[in-house]
Amino acid sequence: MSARILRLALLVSGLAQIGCDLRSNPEAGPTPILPPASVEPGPVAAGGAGILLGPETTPPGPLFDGLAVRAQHSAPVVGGTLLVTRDGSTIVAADPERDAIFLVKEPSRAVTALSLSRGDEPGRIAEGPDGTLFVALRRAGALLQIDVPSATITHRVAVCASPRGVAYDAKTASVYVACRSGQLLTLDAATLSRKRTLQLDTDLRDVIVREHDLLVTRFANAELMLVADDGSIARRARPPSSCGDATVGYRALALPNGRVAFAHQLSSNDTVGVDSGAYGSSSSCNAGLVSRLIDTVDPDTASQLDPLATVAPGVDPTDLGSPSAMTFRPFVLPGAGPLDVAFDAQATRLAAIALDDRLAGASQLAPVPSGFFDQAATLWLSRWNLSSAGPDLTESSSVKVAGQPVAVTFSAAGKYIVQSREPATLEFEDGSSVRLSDESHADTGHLMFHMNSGIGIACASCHPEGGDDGHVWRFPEGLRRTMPLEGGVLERAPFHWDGSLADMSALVSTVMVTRMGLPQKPTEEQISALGAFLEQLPVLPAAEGLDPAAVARGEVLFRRSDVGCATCHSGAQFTDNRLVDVGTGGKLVTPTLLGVGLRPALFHDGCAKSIAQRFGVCGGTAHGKPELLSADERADLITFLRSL
Amino acid sequence: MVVGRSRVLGLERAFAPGAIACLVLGAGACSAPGPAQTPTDTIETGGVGGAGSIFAPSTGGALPIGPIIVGPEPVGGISCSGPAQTGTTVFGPQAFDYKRIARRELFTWTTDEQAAELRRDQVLFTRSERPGIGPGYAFQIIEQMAQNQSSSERAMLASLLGGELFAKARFAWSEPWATRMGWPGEEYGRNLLRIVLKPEAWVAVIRQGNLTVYDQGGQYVPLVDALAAPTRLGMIFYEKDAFVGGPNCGGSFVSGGNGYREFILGNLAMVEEWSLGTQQIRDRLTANIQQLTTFLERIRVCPVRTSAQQWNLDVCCAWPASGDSGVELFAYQQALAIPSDNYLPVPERIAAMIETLQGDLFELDPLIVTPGSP
Repeated sequence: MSARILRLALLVSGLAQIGCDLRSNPEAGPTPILPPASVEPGPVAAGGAGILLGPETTPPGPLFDGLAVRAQHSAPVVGGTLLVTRDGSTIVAADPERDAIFLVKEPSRAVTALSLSRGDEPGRIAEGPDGTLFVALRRAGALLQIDVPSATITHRVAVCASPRGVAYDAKTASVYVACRSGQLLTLDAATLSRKRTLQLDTDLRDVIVREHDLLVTRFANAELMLVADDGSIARRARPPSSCGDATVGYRALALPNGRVAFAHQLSSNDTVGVDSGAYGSSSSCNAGLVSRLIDTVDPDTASQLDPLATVAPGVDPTDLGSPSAMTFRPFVLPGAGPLDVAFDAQATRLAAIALDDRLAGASQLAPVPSGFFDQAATLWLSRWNLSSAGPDLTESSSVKVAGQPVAVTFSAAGKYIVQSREPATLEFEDGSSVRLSDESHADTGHLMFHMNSGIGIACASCHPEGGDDGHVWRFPEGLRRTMPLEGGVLERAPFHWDGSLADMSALVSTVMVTRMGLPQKPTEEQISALGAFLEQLPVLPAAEGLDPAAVARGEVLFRRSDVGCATCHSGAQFTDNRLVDVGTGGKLVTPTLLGVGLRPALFHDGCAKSIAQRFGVCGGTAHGKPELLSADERADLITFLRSL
Repeated sequence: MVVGRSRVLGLERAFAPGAIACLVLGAGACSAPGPAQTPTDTIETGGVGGAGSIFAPSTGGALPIGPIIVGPEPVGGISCSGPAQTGTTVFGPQAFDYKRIARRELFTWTTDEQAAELRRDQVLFTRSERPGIGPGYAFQIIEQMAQNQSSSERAMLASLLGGELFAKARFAWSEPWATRMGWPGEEYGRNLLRIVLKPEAWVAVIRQGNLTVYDQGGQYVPLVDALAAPTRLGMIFYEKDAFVGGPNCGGSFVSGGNGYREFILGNLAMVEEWSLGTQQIRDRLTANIQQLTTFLERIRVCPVRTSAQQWNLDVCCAWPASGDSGVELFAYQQALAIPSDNYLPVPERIAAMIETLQGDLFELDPLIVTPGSP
C-alpha cells in the first residue's frame, strides 16, 4: 500500500467519524467531505511520511541535509496579507518580515515597495474608498492609510497594542479595527480619527462589515460575535463539535447573503498519546490531535436546537446536541496549521494553503531564494457550492506552489494568487511569478515551526502565531494547557508543565521527533535555529486602558513578601523556573505571567478563565497568600497582572 | 406531539428531562440493585414507541460498570495517580439509591419571572406546556405506555400520570447543584425552590421499560393499589435509558441518545410544603458550594476529560451500580442527574459550577407555603 493510499484511507476513516459526530446535530449540515489526495502524486521526498510507509520507506537523510540558516527577523504566518483591489488593477501584499507593503500593478506586474519601520509587521489589509487601502501594523500598534495611485502612505495612526482585523464600511465611511486587547475601534476613514472605542472580550481577530451589524471573531477560542449598532453583542457562538473544541479561528471571510466562511481548527479532547507519531494518531475527531475546518456560518439563524425551536415528535431534544445561536456547516480541510484560505468574489471557488506531509529537501534550504517548500507546499482548490456549503470534489485538485505560501487570494478573473514569504514572490495560477523583493528571510527555525511534521500537525497547530491555542489537552499525566511561547521562551526552561524537558534539544527530540513523527532528527544547529526563531517572538502586548496608578499599587502588592507572588513569579520572565506544588494538582513549573491578562485559560488544567478566577476556587491551597489582601487591593493586583 | 426543551417551556420546568440509562447488561454486569420488592408486572421492553428493537441492549461487549478510569491509561508509560482517597467521598452521601427512589425533599430551579409569580400568587404548579412546544419527552413515553395495552393496569396508570394528575408539572432533583447547569445552552433560572412531599407520597418509576410504584420506604406498591389511590402518587421518577432511546451500554461505541434522570412533580395533594428564599435553602446552596470546592481539590490531580457523548454513556452506564463505592469520581457520577458536558469532572467545569452557585446565593426573603392551609 502506498503512503498516499494509506493516508487517504486514514483520512476517510476519520471522515466517517467526524460525519457521525456531526450527524448528531441536524444543523451541522452535510457530512463534511475530505478532499481527495493530490491529483498529482509527485515525488515522495526522502523520509516523507515514513512513519506510515513501513517497508517501502527509504531511510531518511538528515533534515534539510543538515543545513541551517537564520534570518535577522522572522514573523509567524498570520495569513490575510494579500488583497486584490476591487477594480483588479492592483495586487497588495503585506510582508511582516520585510516590513513592507508591495503594490503590484496589473497587467504590467510592476512592483512598488512601501518600506515601513523594522518591526512594524504589517498584517491584514482592507480596501477603503477607491484608491485607498488600510493596513494593520500588528507589532507597531498602528494603522496605515495608503493612496494606491500615488503609492504613498497618507496616514499612520496609533490604534491599539496589537491590531489584527481591519474592515471598511462604505455606508458610514468608517474603518473598523479589531485588537487583540479586545478593543474594537471605529475610525473615520478619511482622517483615521477615532469615532468610537468598544471594549469587547479579548483576543479579537477579524471584523466583517455586514448590512446591519459587524461580525467579529476571536482567535484562540474560535468564537464569532455579532456586534449591533449600539455596541452590544447580539449573538455569539462557537462552531460545535462533539469530539473536540473549536480553536484558532484564523480567518473569517465574507460570503454572499451575509454569511461568513470561518477557517479554524478542531482540537481533540481525547487522551493525548506520547509515543511515536501519537500527535497524528486517529482521535475521535479522526484527524489527529488537530484538524482544520472551514465552516460556512449563517450568523443570523440559530440552529434548530435553539430552545425556542420545536422538535419533531418522538425526538428528545437533549439528543440533538447543544443549541447554537448560529448555524454552522463544517468542511474538513487538508493540511496542517493555521494557513490562509480564500474564496473568489462569487464564493464559487475555494483555495486553501495545505502543506503536504513531505518535507523539503536540502536544495530548498540554501540561503538563496529558491523556496523551502518546493516539494511540500500545495494549494488545495475546489469548486464551491454555496447553497450546500460544500465543495464539488469532481472539481477539486491540489497543485504545487513554489516558495513558502503564506497567503492566498483570487484575482478579479477568479484566478488564484499566492504570496510566498521566501522567496518573496507572488505565484499566479497561470504559472507566472513576480518577485517582490530580493531580501532573503530564509530561516530554518521559521520553517521547522510551520512545517507539517509528516503526520498532519505542525508546531504552529497548537502554537498559532507563536502563541498558544488556549486548549487544555488530556495527557496521561493529567490536563495540560498549551503553554505560550512569546516573550523569550528559552529563558523559561525546563519546558512543559512537569519540567521534564530540560532544553530545546530535549523538547525537539521528545515532541517533534517522537510525538509529532518527524522522520529525521534535526541537527543541533537546526534546533538552535528553531530556538532563535521562538526567542525573537515579541512579548505579548499588554491590555489597554489600565489605570497606571492601579498598576503601580498592584505591583507593590505583587512584590510584598508576605503575599508571596514574586517569590516564585520572579525575574523578567516572572518565573523561577522551578517545580512547585501550590495545591493545584501536583508539582508544576512556575508559569510565566507575561501576557497573563490575555490568556484564554489559566493554570495547567485551564481551571480559571480569568485572573479573577485565579483568586477563587482555582487558585490552589498554597498559592501565595492573596487572602491577606482586601478586595480593593486584589483589584489593583489584578490590574498589575493584566499589564504584564 | 411536539416536544420542547424544558427551559423554553417557560414553565415551571426547573430542569431538562433527565434519566438514567440503566441497561440490562449481560452477565449481570449491570445488576441494578432493585427495589426492596421486585415488581411482578414488568412490561416487555419493546413497548415504548417501537424503540425497543432498536435500543435493546446487546448481549455482548458489555462495558465494565464501575468508576471511570482516572487517567492511568497505559499510554507512554506515564500515569496519573488519581485523586487521593480520604475515606469518605464528597458525593457518596448523595449517591442515588435505587432501593429508595422516593424522596420527600426535592429542589427545582426557576426563573426570576416565575419566582415573582410564585411569591405573588403562591400557586406551585401553574404551567402545563408552552403552546406549540409540549410537556417534555417523559410525557411522550408515558403516553406511549398508556396506549400499550399489553398490561391494562400499567396502561391505566400511565393514563393517570399523563392526565390531570401531572398536567402542570415541575422537574426536580434531590440536590440543587446537580441540575443547575443542565444541558449546554439551557438556562433554568437562578431561584431555588424547595419542595417537601408528604410522607405518604408514592413515586411512579419509569425505568428499564417498566412502570412501577414505590412508597417512601422503598416498598413496592402493586399497580392495582396505586390505581385505587392515585392521589398518593406524588412524584414520577423517569430515567432515559436504552429502552426509551438513551445510551446503549451494551455496545463498544456510543449509541443511542443522551441519558438522564429526573423527578417530575405535579400533584399538589402530596406537597407538604414549598419554600423560596429561606435560610434552609441558602444553607443547602452553601453546602453544595463547599462540596464542589472539596471535590475540585480532590479531582484536580487527575481529572477526567472525554467527549460529551462518551461522558454521558460512561455515567449513565455506571448508574445501576448505585451506592457509595468510596471512589471520588464514581460517587460524583452516582449523584448526577444530567450527565451533560457541563458536568464533566474537569476543573474548569467544576469551577464554573461553583461560581454559578455562588452567584445564586441570595438575600433572605423567606416564603414558606403549606398548600391547603389558610
